[in-house]
Amino acid sequence: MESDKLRGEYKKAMETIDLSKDSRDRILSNIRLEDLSVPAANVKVRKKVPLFVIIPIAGAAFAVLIIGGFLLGMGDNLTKNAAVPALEKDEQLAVDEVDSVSGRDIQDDGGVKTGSATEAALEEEDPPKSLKPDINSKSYTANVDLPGIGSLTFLPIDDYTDSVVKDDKYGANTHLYTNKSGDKDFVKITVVDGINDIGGAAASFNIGDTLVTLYGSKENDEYNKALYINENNMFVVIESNKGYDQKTWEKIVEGVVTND
Amino acid sequence: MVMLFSSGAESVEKESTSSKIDYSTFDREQMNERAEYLLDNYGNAILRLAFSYVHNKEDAEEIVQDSILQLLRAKPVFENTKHELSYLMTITSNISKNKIKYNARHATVELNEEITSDQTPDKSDDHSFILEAVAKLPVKYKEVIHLFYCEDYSTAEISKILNMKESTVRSNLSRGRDKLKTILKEEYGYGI
Repeated sequence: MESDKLRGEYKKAMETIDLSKDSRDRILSNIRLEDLSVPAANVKVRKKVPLFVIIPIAGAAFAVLIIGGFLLGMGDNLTKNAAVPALEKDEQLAVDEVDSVSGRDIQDDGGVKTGSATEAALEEEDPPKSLKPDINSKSYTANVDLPGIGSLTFLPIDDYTDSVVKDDKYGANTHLYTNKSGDKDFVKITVVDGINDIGGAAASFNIGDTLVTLYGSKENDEYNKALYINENNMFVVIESNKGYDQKTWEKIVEGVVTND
Repeated sequence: MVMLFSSGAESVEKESTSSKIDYSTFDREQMNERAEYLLDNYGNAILRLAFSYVHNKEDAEEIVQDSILQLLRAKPVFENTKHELSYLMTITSNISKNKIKYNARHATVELNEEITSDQTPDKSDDHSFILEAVAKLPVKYKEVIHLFYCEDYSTAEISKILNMKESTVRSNLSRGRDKLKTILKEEYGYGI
């Protein structure tokens, strides 16, 4: 109804925009004067390159400059060292060896660790932890405080095979879609049978540093903001602030586990 | 039969859509005749599409002319008139977007004046405020709203014309409609 009313009102408004006879004749006369043998120009709209593309590229270019500068500096030092007479070089090396025997390079028995032992000790140190979820090899479960849905299981991509449709114990089918719009992705899970009324609330939770928002059912205002679908379907919509593509989403989300 | 000033999708339906149209075989006279045909059959449709982007009738008419010239120069081959109209709509959409960018780069006081001058539809018209409300939407929303509500294209057809995914069209349509409803309610006290 709303749609019909909007259509009617908008059409009436647009009907006031007409190509007048004078304008039509003027355009025709201009076209007749034009040289049509000139090849058509490309009128494709140049799309703006988004910041999330520019920033990593600019960052990478900057890193290359820094590393390049560092390597050049090292090369310069090596050249200078090569010019040092052999005796001085040996003395310098002796000093370097003494300097390196410090702190953790001393073993419990007081001896100095060998090169390989030092390397092993360094490897034992905790590697820097990544804030990004390892979606390739780890699974994540997020509890969602909504009636009808207990938790969402995100399975490792490596383990996932093909289908994105899952039948749960109520016989409800969950279908997965993505809708890339603007700077966010949406994943929609449609619960066809209507048993799983997940309510109108929305919930957000984190998987790693990924903010995931679960929207409510069709009663929720967010529904219209997210997707335009058949009103008979019940569904939830997951929104992520990460730019996962369709394939990745299909592999991440295994399905909806419903509560009793 | 040529219908004078009918809307695009409407006229296409009333006409045979099976005949192939090969612009590369046209001589200059035939090109002129085709330009006349395009203006008479799709003139209003492409003018309104262009207007939905630029909200200025003078600019919209210029876009109509450029769109037809672009088509004639490209010398394309169409399977039917529906295909021809879709192509024309795509060209119009692209030229309109380029025009918006050009206007933004060359923004002057004159441009602002045009928005409120008599270039816009007759204010006495009861529905003109809808056009003003749509004009306030971002381009990505108003283009799908126009094609869906004014030209009666399906979301699948719009996705082809605008060269975007159908799901994006549906999403933009839904979001645009929400925004439009908000603008109409808050700024014009009009509820849909």
